[in-house]
Amino acid sequence: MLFNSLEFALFFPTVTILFFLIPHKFRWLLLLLASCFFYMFFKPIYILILILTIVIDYFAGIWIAKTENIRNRKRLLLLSIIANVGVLVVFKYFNFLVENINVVMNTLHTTGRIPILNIVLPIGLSFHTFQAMSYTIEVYRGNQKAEKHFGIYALYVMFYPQLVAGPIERPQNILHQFYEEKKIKYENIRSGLILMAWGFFKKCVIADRLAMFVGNVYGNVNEHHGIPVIIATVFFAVQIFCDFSGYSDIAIGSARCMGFDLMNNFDRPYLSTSISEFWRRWHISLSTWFRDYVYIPLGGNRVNKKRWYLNLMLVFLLSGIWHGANWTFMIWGLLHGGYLIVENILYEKLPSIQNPISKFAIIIKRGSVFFLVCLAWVFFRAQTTADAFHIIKSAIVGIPQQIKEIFSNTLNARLHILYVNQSVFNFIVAIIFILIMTMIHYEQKNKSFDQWLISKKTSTRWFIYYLLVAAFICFGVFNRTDFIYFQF
Amino acid sequence: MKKILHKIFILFIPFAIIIIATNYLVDPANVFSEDEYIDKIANIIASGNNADNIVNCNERLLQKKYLQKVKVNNPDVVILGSSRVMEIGSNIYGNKKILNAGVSHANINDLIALAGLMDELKIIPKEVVINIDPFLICKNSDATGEWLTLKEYYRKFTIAYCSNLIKKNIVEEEGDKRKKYYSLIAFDYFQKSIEFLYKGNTKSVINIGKNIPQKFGRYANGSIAYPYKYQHPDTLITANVAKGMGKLIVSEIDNDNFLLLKCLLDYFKKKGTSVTLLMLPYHPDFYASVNQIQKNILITYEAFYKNFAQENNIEIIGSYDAKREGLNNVDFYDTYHCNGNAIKIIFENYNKKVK
Repeated sequence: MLFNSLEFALFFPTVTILFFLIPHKFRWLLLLLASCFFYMFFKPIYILILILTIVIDYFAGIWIAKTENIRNRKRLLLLSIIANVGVLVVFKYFNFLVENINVVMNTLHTTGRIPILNIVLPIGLSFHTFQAMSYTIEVYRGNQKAEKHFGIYALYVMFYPQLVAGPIERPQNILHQFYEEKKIKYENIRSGLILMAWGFFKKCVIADRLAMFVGNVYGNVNEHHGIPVIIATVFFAVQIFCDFSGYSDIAIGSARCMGFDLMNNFDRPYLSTSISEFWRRWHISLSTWFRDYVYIPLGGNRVNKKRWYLNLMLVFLLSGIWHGANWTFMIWGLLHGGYLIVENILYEKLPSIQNPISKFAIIIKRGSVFFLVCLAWVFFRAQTTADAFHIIKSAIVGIPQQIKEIFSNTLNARLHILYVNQSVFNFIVAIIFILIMTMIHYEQKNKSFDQWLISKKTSTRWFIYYLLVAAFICFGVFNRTDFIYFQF
Repeated sequence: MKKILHKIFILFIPFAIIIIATNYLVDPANVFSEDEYIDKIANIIASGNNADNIVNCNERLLQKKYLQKVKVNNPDVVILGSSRVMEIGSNIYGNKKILNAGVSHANINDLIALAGLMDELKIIPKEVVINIDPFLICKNSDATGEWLTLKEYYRKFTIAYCSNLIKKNIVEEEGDKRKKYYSLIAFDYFQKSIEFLYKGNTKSVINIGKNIPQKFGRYANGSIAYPYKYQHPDTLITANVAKGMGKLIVSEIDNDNFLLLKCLLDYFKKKGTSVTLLMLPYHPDFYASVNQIQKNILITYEAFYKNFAQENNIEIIGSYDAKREGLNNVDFYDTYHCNGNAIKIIFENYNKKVK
């Protein structure tokens, strides 16, 4: 079920009201059934995959906890990881691997080709698989007791707000919450609804509007160069943030209405002044997952420099692969790994630039980070690596001529170059709302959006409530577009 | 709980009232006042006058009401097809008695239904001009489901004249009522209502007698009139859009649809009506782009129709290729619609060839 659908507008209040109406001992069952319904709305059959991984990890957790022999514990953990990764490989990476093997075989002029599988990637597979893996790893490490209640464990993997696109939770944070008796709290519902409204605003008003511009350029890469390419790339950076953080806000908000606290997933990442800071602010639940379960076990930065850099590259390569079976994602990951290494070398050589004091220097650093992140987004968004390189090359072609054309005052020039073949209205609305969001981000300082809004005096707060709802109704794009991260 | 409900009530009720009231009162697509609105237009044009300021009407329903009211049982020419032929009227046929029964996004089901309607009303034309497009008989051509407005005539016609063909399952549109209620609270409908008001549009259809409509209008013969702005577009913008639209997927021929077309042609033959097939050109940039992306699909369709016409001894006029008719970008309103003058040229080209 999509958050931005009429079905969800009925589903969410129904489940939330029922949750508080029924006795505590049945609430887990209600949430589990609701989560199954939510997931099966996409493609019912794929719930079987979910059930398979739930069963494997449930028993793996119990056996790991029971086993005292370290070797056997390790073996059990390994088995559970292989099972989870196996599902990912079959559904997400098999065809990619086969296609590449076939290309190699073709190059070597060998006969016979491996057939590809005709399967569709289950929605949110990488999210719930990683959440399931974090459970067995934490049980193995002794940080989490094995969950004996199968229903509660299933709910840990399937809890509907974060089932298809995160945040990727840790068992220590969420499992115990399913046992707590939640009471209706005005504060929870208020802050939950505020977050949901903010999420819907980002998704429907900004992300889906920007998608029209981005799709126009990235869907026809040979037809655009210069300014439209730059605009589309910057818009994509905003689009993916609004789309994904919007989803996270709706997820966190809808869980909070029932009294559940999910981890924060975004913290205004485009205000980062370094790439390392960007990764502390962007998709926090995934970056901390890789930090805790891959980077630190590899030795983190407590190894020699070469090994450290290798660790960084490996983690970001895996992060790229996690996003999708395509070379574009791998290059995206490697680029970020490379950025971090270069950033580290720069900070070592020029320590003064690490913590700038002047506002101008901060702006320059933010601008540089945004530029580098956008450059990497080109690979993330492009269909193929060839497209991505073409986009980068074409982004600087013919700009002076295009500027002249824009100022020549012909509507066609502006329509094609500046508005990327969209209407002037769409362009202006997009720019206005991006600016509003950026201003709010600056205003928020270190508070989350709900905390920031609640800290305002009543009249201001209500004024913003009305503005948010009015903006959503008047300027939302209601074509039920999927969230970008559903595909991962 | 009370506090929460109270605050939610205070926040959302004003919006709900504004949305419902605006959607109902403005009603830009005439969801809530369709019958009344279309009756008004049909009455004007069936009485022999022209109507102006027509916005978003259900063209199938208009055809139904118009043909029921107009008292022309033996017109000289009936035009069937999509919006691409809706401008054909006295500009091409002079003083002949003509009925233009074109409807936007027409597919073969629409044509069958309209023929069924005329059959029931005993309207037998001397000549019928059928606009043939790939979209008429291609796969998924009925995706919009607009033809279902006239499904009763489709059903009657197929039972009476195409009984040997597979009957299409006509989905009874239970959703119509639901759609109506949904439109009352739909945010996108609210946005359309606001846009409608912002543009200063009104829904009052004007009876302009024999004058030429200045906005979107209808002539007494059913043909459409376009406003000045639509007739004089920025050709560069039109070309850009047409090129972009070139990525539109044109599906392959659907055999069932083709059999329905044959059945329709047989019906007219039986009734003694002469048939002319009409191919109108697409914008040159669209034509080039579609043919490039989809391996000459428009050329293939054109050849297919021409062969079919030749084999069955049916007259066929025009081409999808504007260049072949001596037309270029300035002869187009948009991607799909060449202007009235271009249509005239196409008919003149044909007449010269015949002579």
